[in-house]
Amino acid sequence: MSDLAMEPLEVFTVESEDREGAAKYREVISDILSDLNLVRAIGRLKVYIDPKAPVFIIVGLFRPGLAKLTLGDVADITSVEEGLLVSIREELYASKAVGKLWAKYGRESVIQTERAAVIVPLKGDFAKQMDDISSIVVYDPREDLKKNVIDALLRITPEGFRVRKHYIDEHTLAFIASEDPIKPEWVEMCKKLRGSIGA
Amino acid sequence: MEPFIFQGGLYKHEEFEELVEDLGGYILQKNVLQLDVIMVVLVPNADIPVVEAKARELLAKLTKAPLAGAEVAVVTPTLAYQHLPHLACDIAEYLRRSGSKTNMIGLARGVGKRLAQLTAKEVDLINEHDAALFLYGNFRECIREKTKLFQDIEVPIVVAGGPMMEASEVPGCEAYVGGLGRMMHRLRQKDETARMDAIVAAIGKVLDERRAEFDKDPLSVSPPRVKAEIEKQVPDIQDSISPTPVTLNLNGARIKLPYDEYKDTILNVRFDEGVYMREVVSLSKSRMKGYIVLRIKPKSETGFVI
Repeated sequence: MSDLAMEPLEVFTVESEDREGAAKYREVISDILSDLNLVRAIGRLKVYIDPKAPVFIIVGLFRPGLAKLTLGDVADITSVEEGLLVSIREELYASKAVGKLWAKYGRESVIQTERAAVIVPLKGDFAKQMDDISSIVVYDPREDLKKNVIDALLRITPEGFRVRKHYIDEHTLAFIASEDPIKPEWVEMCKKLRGSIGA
Repeated sequence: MEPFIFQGGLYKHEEFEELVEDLGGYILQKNVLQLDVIMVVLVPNADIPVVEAKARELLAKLTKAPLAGAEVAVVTPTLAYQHLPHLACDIAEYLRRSGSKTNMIGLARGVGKRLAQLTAKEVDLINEHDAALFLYGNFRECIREKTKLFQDIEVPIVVAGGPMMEASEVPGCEAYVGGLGRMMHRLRQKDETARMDAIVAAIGKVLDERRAEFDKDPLSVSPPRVKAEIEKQVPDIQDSISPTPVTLNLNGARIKLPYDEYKDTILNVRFDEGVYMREVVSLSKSRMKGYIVLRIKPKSETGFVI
């Protein structure tokens, strides 16, 4: 099955010898994921808990298809006498976009006409410069996603499991937590779980 | 005496207050919220119909408060979001609606299976209450392991957790209520409310057993009477910003004034019979903000009951 065809949370299991506890934990996790708006972002999730060891392992697969937002998406760019007028339509991204332009052209050469509109000096070819400015990323949902996923992991992990080992990239996450130093067999277990969800 | 919660309007509520006092009952707590009044009252058993009639006349709601006159500690392993706010706050609030004064205690080192422990201060603080409710998590193994926290606690303990277990599986507790455990949503479902009712029932039973114990060797003076006299004779108590400046316990009270300054004032309070407070109570410094913990001596010690 291709990744794109993956449904939201098509696989979501919690394994443990304590079945009652596992069922309860499944509730806890789905509450946290919906609180942090992660249900749509995570495609598959597998959790293994052994309260005797004690160890807590979670592996997951992110759903692809989160587009970045560029300055071209949120601003109008036109030519004016002093250079290029960039007026940002979406207030939400105004400060971030202006900050990026400051960083690119230097604060002194950028003329701010309004809170959400700046003029940057024309340098070389207009069309090329316009493309450059349009492609500046003002919002990367994956950054937010990563932050939220880390937040979720910390909320999901049993309190007191302070020894942690984690691995997160664009597509997958793996996390082991325990009260004791992480044992090699837990890492093996984690690898096996990752294999089982196709990560 | 039977405890009730009165919920009604501000208009004419004094009539109800006066009636209760005339009948020899006590107002334990009174909260005025804009035009609403919520009072916890103690009414002599024989006069319950009279009081009920008065409440009907004032269009107020009168409900039984099984936990009134008791202070309950709700203990969670930490104050982190793993345990707060939903479960702990909802349960604490539910206990308050049943009339108890509830204090929430988050442990400094209550987390984990192997690590969990209580500090001496926490033990003392929990022991100042009439009963303690421990809120544990979802796994049987961990709940069993964490019973080691009960070791030095002298007050009766009720435990709530996720798995359905027998109280006998959790050594050291008086009652166990399952079906709750760690959860990240508000307790609104019907079955969750039923579990909270079970907690109230369990704590109510524990408190009744304690009351029965005290009845075998009665207290020299009743706690509500101590409270009434202190409020009458120690005017500074009115300046305490706590909602319940004198909080009742089954065998005494917690007085929310600094111990060092007010110890002697409290001991010199005099009852109508000519008895001084110092003859019937012992005071100690509370682990809660240096307040005063008052414990009433039993008849076997003083030789009389007033």
